Amino acid sequence: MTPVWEYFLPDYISYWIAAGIPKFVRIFWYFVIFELTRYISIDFLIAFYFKITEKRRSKKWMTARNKLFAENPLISIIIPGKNEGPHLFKLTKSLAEQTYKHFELIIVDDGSNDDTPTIGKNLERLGLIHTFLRNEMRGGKASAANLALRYSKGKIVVHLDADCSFDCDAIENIIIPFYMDDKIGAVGGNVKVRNYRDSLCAKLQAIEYLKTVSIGRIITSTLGIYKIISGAFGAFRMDVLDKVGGWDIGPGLDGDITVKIRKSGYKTVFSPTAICLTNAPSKFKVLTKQRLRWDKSIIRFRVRKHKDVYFPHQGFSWSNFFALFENVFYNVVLDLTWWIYIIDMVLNYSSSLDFIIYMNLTLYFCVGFVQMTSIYIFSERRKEELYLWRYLPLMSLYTGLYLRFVRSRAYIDEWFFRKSYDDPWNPVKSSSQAKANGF
Amino acid sequence: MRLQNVISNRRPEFAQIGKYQALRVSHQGRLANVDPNTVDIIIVEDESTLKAILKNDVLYLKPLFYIGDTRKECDGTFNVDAPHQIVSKVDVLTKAIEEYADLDLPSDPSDRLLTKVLRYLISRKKVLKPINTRLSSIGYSFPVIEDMSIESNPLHIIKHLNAFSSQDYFSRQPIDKINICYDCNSSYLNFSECCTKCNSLDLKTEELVHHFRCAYVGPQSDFMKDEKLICPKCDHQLKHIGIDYDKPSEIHTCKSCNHSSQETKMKAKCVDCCKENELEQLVTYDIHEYRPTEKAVAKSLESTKAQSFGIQSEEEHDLLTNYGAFNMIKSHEAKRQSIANTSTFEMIMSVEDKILNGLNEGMQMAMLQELASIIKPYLKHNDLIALDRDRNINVLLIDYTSQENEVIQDTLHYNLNKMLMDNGWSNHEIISITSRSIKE
Ligand SMILES: [Zn+2]
Ligand SMILES: [Zn+2]
Ligand SMILES: [Zn+2]
Repeated sequence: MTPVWEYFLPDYISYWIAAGIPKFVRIFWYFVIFELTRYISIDFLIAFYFKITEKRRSKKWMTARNKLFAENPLISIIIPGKNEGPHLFKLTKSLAEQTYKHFELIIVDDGSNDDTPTIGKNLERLGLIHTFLRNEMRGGKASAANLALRYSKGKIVVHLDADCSFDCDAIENIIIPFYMDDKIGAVGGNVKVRNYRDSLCAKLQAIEYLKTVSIGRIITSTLGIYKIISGAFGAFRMDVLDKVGGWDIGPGLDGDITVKIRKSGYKTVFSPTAICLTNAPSKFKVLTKQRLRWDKSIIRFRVRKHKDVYFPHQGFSWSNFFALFENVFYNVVLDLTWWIYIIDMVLNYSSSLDFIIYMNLTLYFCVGFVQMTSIYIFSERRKEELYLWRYLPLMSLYTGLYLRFVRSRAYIDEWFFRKSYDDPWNPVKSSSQAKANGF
Repeated sequence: MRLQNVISNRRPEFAQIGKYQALRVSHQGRLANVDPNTVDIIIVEDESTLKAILKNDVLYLKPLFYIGDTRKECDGTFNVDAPHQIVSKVDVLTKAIEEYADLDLPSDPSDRLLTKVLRYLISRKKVLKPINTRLSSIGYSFPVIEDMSIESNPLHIIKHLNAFSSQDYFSRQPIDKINICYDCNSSYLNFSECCTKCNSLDLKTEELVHHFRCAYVGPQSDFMKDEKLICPKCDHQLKHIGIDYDKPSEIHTCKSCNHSSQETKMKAKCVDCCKENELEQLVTYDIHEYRPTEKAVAKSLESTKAQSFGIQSEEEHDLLTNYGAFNMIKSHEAKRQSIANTSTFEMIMSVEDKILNGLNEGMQMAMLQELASIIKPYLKHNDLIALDRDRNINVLLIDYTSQENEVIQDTLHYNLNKMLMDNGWSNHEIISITSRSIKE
């Protein structure tokens, strides 16, 4: 049997040489217009900008750091969650190593049905947790976070997930930005995947996180349109949280509160050095569920709840407009456009689909490597991340197909059926209220 | 010869009830010189006499009646106007105690106590049932055994009873649990909740309210406006629990230190000594009722003559060693001690001069000898007791550890003084005990 490339490859190459540049652009318009601009040009422009401003930024950073340590304000670290008991002791250990020491730790147990209450109460008795609060009846993540907020005494509130662990200067680095600019209302931390060696699913997410979180957010933050403070690791000014009334019903409450803060006139920034490691879902089934939830929240919050940012009104701001627009555009609009692209190809180039699919894969494959290079430039743990390079070829299937299908499914579910209100992630009592009131 | 003998020599009253000779004792002092063989029934009218009779080694089994209404430990009430009512009961009791008529009591104090209690309970077909009383520091008293014992501390009584139970003389049945103060063993405790952080009692406890539509959660006071529940975040009125809102839990806020927590610390303040016990500090005891076993019946019938092996004769000349001989042995012991790695202590016990001087010489001797006979059972059988010319009781404790020495000194000091005070000799401690190692 002759191997595939012996008859396929020559045909493939001669086809593309014969096509010429105009035809190439016509066929790969989606890639050229959207992917190339976004991932290549912008990434490298920002990287360049970062390099030339490095000195000035680090000087500003040190001044802010000195200001922080001179004032030494109380920080409230809040951790709302359900059945997080098993993580709590390790978490207190991780936090005890922090370079910034003046904090109180408030855990809210949202109706756990395991031994979390016992663990929490014991840790409180031992003095490892400042306050352990338990709601016998589950109220959902937002209400748990709000309860913690109600009993926080700090000037800044840091919101964490219980199963995360932190670089020892993570807390320090997430609160320093507040001392750089009075208009900063919230700071997001840099979330990376800890269990990337567990499974292929986790490895692909680790690469994805590097691209979207570590790099993506440096870029949006630099452009002033950073709009998702991760629930796993985010810091908020207490007075700002009070002003916006804390968290609203999720899912997707992380993005929601960021938008609320931006809408009330504060800046939100990303702190790439505030590093937090989290466990990503290691099975595609679990991942799919998680992404369906996240993607539905884009429609529910970005498109519906906060639709006012797209229209001229009293508090209109271009940066808020772009922040949400970028988000909606790159997710919803591009997802839709991609389907149009597929239809275009099927209708107009059905005879050479095999060549087109392979070329697309090749292009995404190359772009993946280019992008990894920009990650390499920004990263602080390059050596560890080198391990992930060999999985790059699979990324075009992961982001190009898998994530796109999940996203499309989520958008349809939410757009036509408002499925997020049925998500068991929230208790029925809250969801039904939210649905009835149109949040 | 017992201490009571020395106290009084007034005569008790006798009366005939049916075929029985009844002795009516209006004061415990009148027990003096009572010949048990001539008395069939004892009638008392006050509690201390009743206790004295139960303590008394020759009279404790006699049918015992109390004048007037009573819940006290005895065989019933005695109606002065109808004395014959008790006869049938006395018939039964007399028959029951006949079995013990010729049996002596063991000399070991604990064994003696056990035997007395068993004979009493078995002859009465009774179970030893603790009774609730405020007069006891632990809230329970143990009738009969408490009256018979030299101990007055109910916890010591419990220890005795549990030891007897583990030797199968009693089967026990738990009836209650008590918690007592770590410092003073009192059960008179006042429980209160206080702040986990600063121990203040000034706590404000509130229900938490969760408003579903906006996810705000806070204490109810956050919502109170003109007697209505208005959400501080979204200004909506909360009307319907379960639909608009719920109350997921409670929270305590300390008014002294402003700490909020769902935990409170329970404190148990002791009314007797004012100690603020943490709950974990409280000492817990099980309270049981004790029922004599088959083995107990056998035990109650044991003849003690055989047990004493002739070593510990209660004859007084064997009790005391001549003081000269005592000193000789003491110096031998001192030499032996410096060679072998042992320790021997000399304990000197003296009765307050004022008390001794109030007695004639014969009475003084009688009292000291009686004290010596009380001490004897606490000692190892090689130990020696002697009286010196200054009317001190000298005791040589051979091969004791210093801890054992301390224990015996403390025990004797407490028990002897307690006994003398209970018997009305004085209202303060009149026996002092010193002890030292005889190492040269
Ligand atoms: Zn307090
Ligand atoms: Zn509300
Ligand atoms: Zn006490």
